[in-house]
Amino acid sequence: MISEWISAVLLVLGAFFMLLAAIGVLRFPDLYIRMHSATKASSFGALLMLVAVSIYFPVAYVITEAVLVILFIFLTAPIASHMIGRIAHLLKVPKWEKTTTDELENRINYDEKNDKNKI
Amino acid sequence: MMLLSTIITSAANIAMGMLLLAFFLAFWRLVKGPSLPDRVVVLDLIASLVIGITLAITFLSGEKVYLNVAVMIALITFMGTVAFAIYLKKRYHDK
Amino acid sequence: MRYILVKIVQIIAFAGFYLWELIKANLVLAYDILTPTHHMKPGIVEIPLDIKSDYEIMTLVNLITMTPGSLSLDVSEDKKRLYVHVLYLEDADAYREEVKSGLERRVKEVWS
Repeated sequence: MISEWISAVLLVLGAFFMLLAAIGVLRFPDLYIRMHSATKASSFGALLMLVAVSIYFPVAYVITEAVLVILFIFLTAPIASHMIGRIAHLLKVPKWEKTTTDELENRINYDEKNDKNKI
Repeated sequence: MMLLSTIITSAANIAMGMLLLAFFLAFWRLVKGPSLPDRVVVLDLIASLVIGITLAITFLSGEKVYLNVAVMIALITFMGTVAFAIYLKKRYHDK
Repeated sequence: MRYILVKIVQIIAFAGFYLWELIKANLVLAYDILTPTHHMKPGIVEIPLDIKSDYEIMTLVNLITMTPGSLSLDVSEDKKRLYVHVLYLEDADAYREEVKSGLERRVKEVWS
């Protein structure tokens, strides 16, 4: 009974954080700030919902799979956002006008030829 | 198939409604998004929303098998984002 | 034996720290999404790295992306500098110092 309530609350909270991620992606002014919302909130929402599943179905293989998916999401989401952010900056996607400093813009010894071979 | 309680069913229904609303908002940004990287970010978010919907379906139907769908989506979406990143990078260097 | 015990305690402490930072980051983000006006001051900061190996840099990138108001954007070719997008940037030097003494020290400690 108590575990049912806990998993219901976690499920709704997880869906709420995913909704927040979507609202943030819609509302925020530029790509980099949108990426903050899309990476953090959506992986946190997935974490809460997977914990809810493994509390409600306490079987070994469900818990194993939930833990695997959580680990995989938390390993890959920052890497995916890192790659997209890097390429967006190369493509000169416009920044919000209130952005104060950009030390990536005029970095020293940037080697385009070497960069071509890096993924 | 196990009998589900009303608490968990109503929680899953609420979660489903929130995720659908999130879907519409994300689609709006997908249509509006001024640049291609914006759209890739939204596609990443939509994959997470699909994982959420699959988990809500797991609760509604009571079948634990649906968790495997979530595993597969989580594995595939990362490949999709990396492929998009490589494609964008190649396009930048060819230009 | 003693080394293994110390390591286990360090890893558990690191996991707890990571989880706490994740929750804090999401609460800050939720506040920012739900308030109608944007009062952010974003900026991109360069951080010189002391750590060298790939897995340490990977852990640091992961940790920076999941901490409140920061998102890692790029690592330079020689893996000596990291570029971070910060949402609430008051002073770039102060932020650099904060990351070097906080997150990077923790990553070094866990992988040592």
